[in-house]
Amino acid sequence: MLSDLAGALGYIFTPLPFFWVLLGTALGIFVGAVPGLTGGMLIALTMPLTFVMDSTQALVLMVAMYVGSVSGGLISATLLRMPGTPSSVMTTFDGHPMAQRGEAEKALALSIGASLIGGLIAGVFLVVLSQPLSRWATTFGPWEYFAMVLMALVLIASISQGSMVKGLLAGALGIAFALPGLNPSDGQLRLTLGWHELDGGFALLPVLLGVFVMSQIIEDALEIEKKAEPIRIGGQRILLSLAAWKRHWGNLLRSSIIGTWIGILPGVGASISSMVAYATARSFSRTPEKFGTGHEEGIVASEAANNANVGGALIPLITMGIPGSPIDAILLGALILHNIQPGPLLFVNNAEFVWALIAAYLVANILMFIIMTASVRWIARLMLVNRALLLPAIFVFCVVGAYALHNRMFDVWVVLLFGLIGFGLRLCRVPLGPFVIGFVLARILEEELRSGMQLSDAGFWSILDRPIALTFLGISALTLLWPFVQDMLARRRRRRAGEVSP
Amino acid sequence: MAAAAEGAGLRGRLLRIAGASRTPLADFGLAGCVLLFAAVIWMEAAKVPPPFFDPLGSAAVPEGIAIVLVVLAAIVALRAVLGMPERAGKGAIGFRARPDIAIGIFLLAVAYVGVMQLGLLGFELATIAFLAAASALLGRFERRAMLFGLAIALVLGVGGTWLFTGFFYIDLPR
Repeated sequence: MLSDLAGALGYIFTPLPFFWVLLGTALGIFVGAVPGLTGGMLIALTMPLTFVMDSTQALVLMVAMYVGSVSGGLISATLLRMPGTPSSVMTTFDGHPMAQRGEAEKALALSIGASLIGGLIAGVFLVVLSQPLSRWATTFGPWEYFAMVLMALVLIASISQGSMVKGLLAGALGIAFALPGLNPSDGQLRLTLGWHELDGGFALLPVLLGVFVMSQIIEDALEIEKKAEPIRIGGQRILLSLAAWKRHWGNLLRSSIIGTWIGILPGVGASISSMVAYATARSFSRTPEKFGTGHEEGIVASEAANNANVGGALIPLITMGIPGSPIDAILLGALILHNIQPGPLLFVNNAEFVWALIAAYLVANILMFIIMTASVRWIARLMLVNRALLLPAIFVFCVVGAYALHNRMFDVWVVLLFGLIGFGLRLCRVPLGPFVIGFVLARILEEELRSGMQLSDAGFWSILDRPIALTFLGISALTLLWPFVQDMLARRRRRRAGEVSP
Repeated sequence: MAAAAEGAGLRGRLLRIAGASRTPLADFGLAGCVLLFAAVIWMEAAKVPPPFFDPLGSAAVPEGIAIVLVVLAAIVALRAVLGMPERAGKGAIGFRARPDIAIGIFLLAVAYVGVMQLGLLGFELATIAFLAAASALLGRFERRAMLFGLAIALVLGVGGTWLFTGFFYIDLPR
């Protein structure tokens, strides 16, 4: 394991891969810092440009972008009180008040340091868990896969921000939009409405560009008058001594483990990690009342967890081909576009490739720390880039990316259609993460269901003979029934309280 | 009286389980669109011939998803009925939303793709025109923003075409 990792690190430190990691991290930090731009947007836009690249280098670049984008959000969260990425929302609660009282450098130093530690702790889990989990996943049959994908969809839908019903609706809509076209198992065309362009279905890249990029462009245009005055950074250095970190070790470790663990859960993004870590840090704190007023512990918890989430979320992606977050769904799409078959056999067939991704993740975290510590003052100026100039240029990239896929304008229209759908869903507060994950996983879900049913004469009921699949189904059912159970428990509690009181 | 209390109790339970919508009007629209979409899926799936050897067939999953969509749309509509209209004032967001600009930018994007689809303009010229018009709109037609936008449109239009075709070897719409 360690020799594999050492070999991969050796590869990453050769000039070209290192350049891609550096570039990816820097670009990720930039889009993360600019409110209105996201990591998902950057990676989706980059995907078509990587068609001419070596597959390993392309994915290395995108993983570095992922790490950078999650970290970059802390700058605008602290200085503007506008989280550059959704995962930095919790950082605004304490980072901005600290910056307001003249401690911007300290708030940034804490955030950047916590991001590094969180990222590296998750990296340890990524290195240690990936291979054994991958080996375990190779024992899965179609029913285990079907149940796991179903569980991933239910989990992301229920834990994603907003209402559970809307999360489930988003997932179901994602699956529905993945169904049109030729069904490869029996060669039947379905749901094409007689359009030959739809024979191959909606391609993943235009859908991603529409949902993540075009809908964001429309939303940014709607909010074009949104302005914020950043807090200026003083002359102090953005680096804390080890002694200053001493009292945060427990919080750092706990929040990083929470971030990693939530990341491993299929489909749950970095925002949830930072919320859970923040709430846990507050309940463990001796001064919980200070949270939200510019408290160091809040910043450390939020930033350690959201960066740890990236590493955690890479684990199910690498070992089972299940995206741990919406950005992982884009990475899954990138693997497919680069003709790399995701799933448990990825480690068996492409071990060097997987280790290169893990090494890139670790190096990107260290580069993120160096870049942000050295240049946060300049990045802070860039975050107020004129969106009137940026948004139209981003749309041009969308057009080029979508057209380049099959050299047809139909895919560009798909970008516009899904941009409109994505914007409509945003307006109705329907989360986009489950939509994208549903779209990506729909084919696997159907294929595994079909394979499972073909295995036995008992049809669907043969799933009852598979304990792992049943466990996954049980978790899904419990997640779906949880609101009812909660209501029942609450009523019982109230009834008991009524009986006790005279 | 008792019935009213029971109704309030039932409403309370539904609220606790399903939650109340904070955007009831939008949610009614959403539920309607989803129901319509589910109906289209169901009708299209009904046209698929039955399977011969495959136990599942090509229509089962679309039909199943259509049912799930109908159920979820019904719950979304129920939450909208239960929900109170959002009380937050317009000033709460701290800036003026510009739906006119959002619609404008979308229409410009449609026009940009449309002129290339119809072959009226090639990528280079269409891109220059789109970038100049879109940056002027987003910059609310301020003179400085328009000049900057035009300069960037020329650089990105000409330079971008060279970059995509000469460096990344990507075919562009003609």
